[in-house]
Amino acid sequence: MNEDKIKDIIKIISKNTGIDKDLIDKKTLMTDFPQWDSIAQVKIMVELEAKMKKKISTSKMSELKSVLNIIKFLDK
Amino acid sequence: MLFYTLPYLAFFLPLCLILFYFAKSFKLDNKLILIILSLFFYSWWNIYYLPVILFSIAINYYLSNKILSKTNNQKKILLFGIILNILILVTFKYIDFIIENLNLIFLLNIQLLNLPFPLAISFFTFQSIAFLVNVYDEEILSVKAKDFFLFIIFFPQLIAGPIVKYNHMMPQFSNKKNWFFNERNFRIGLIVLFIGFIKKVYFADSLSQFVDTGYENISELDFFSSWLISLSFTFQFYFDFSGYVDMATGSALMMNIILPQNFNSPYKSTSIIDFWQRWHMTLTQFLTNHIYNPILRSLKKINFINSMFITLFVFLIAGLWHGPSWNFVIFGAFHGLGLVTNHFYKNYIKFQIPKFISWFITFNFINISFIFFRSEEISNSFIIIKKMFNIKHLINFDSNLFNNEYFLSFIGDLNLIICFLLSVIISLCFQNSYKLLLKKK
Repeated sequence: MNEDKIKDIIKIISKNTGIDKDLIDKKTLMTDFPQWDSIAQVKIMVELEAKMKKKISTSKMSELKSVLNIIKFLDK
Repeated sequence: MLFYTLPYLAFFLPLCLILFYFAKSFKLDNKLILIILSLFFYSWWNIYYLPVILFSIAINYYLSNKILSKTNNQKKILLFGIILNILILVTFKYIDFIIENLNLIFLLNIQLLNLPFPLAISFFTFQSIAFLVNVYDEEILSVKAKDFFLFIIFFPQLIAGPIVKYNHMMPQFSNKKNWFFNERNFRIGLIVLFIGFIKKVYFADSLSQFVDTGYENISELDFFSSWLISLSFTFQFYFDFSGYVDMATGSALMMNIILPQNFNSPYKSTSIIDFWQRWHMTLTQFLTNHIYNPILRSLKKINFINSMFITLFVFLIAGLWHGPSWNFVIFGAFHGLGLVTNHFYKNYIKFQIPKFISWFITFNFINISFIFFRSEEISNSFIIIKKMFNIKHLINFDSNLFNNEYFLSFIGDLNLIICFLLSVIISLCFQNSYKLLLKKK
């Protein structure tokens, strides 16, 4: 995945959680920030689905709990 | 057949292990052997339950293949499958509960059906629904009849979970390495099985006698004894359920199958959100994946208020899933409201509560909620809670403490005191048994 797309993912996470995007990188986990909760997760997934044009199932939503996992999934 | 009984431990499990490990030597199919043994295990309780689970397996397998055949009606087939599974569950588990309430509300006199309650129906229904959804979402790309049969009926997880996923289980059953004896898995499986056995037979059963007597004589309870029975049930429940799951996990591991973690020291939780990430974890995952997430994502506007209403709804369902009783609905509502409060506090009140106080509030919340879980009547739950918070009893500390027969029976039973204290220490200070599985060596 190219850097621009990774930046887009980080931007979407930042927008929906309120976490400063400078604090988010590939290694960031959902559990690192209390703001990245179940509501934010669904919002992130819905926005990623629209932006990346890739279907994310509701079961998958709960598995994508880190930036790296999201990148790997979207890269498939 | 129950895991802690002699027929299981002395005959069934050893026979399973021998057949499982030596199947290949006799050119037998491991999966087929596990299916036959699981059918025997399930029928041991009552063979009349068998047609229901067999029908459920057959219909869900058929529907999954229909979805996989890529017709234009995939969504309709999925919806039909979900409704059918729920209908089967409602018919066998909730129909009399519905009739009773209809009779009460509309002053009717409809006869109860008294249908037999097939063992494990709540578990295999949820597992089948999750399976159909995963097929629809293209997370499962092909299904063989034998594989699906084994996925549902595999005896260690059949009766009390954990609720497993097809994609987690099938690669393990199909991996040929898993068909041979593995010393490490056998050793750890045996230890986990033994831990589960002790949890169930010593801790849960010792506490249950005391709890049962207390709940049968609610009028005799006072301030201290009502706290004592509620706490005893809280520990009994954990040791009973997690002990049973440990025995399931240990049994499966001896056959090189790793079941997902279902308990992660839940009484160490420091919030209700934390509790549901540690207690019956596979149920929480099911509720999140198949009720909470789909409803939330279907909304045009996802916001805090909407998500809290969905959380409440999900926990009402979760409560009712535990059994056909208003007590379970209240239990679910209690936890739903607890979660809403917890989320509200986390989002809008930034004051950090000291960890010990957070734990104390959480643990007492859980303890009180379990009173609804254990009581047969809602009114009894409120009587116990009222006694737990009756200041008058607290003021009369001395006279009540020494006059209460129930309290005296507790302090007069050394085994019970030891069991209770050990329950507290183990639940709050020790690592949980699943950590053994996660250790590399």
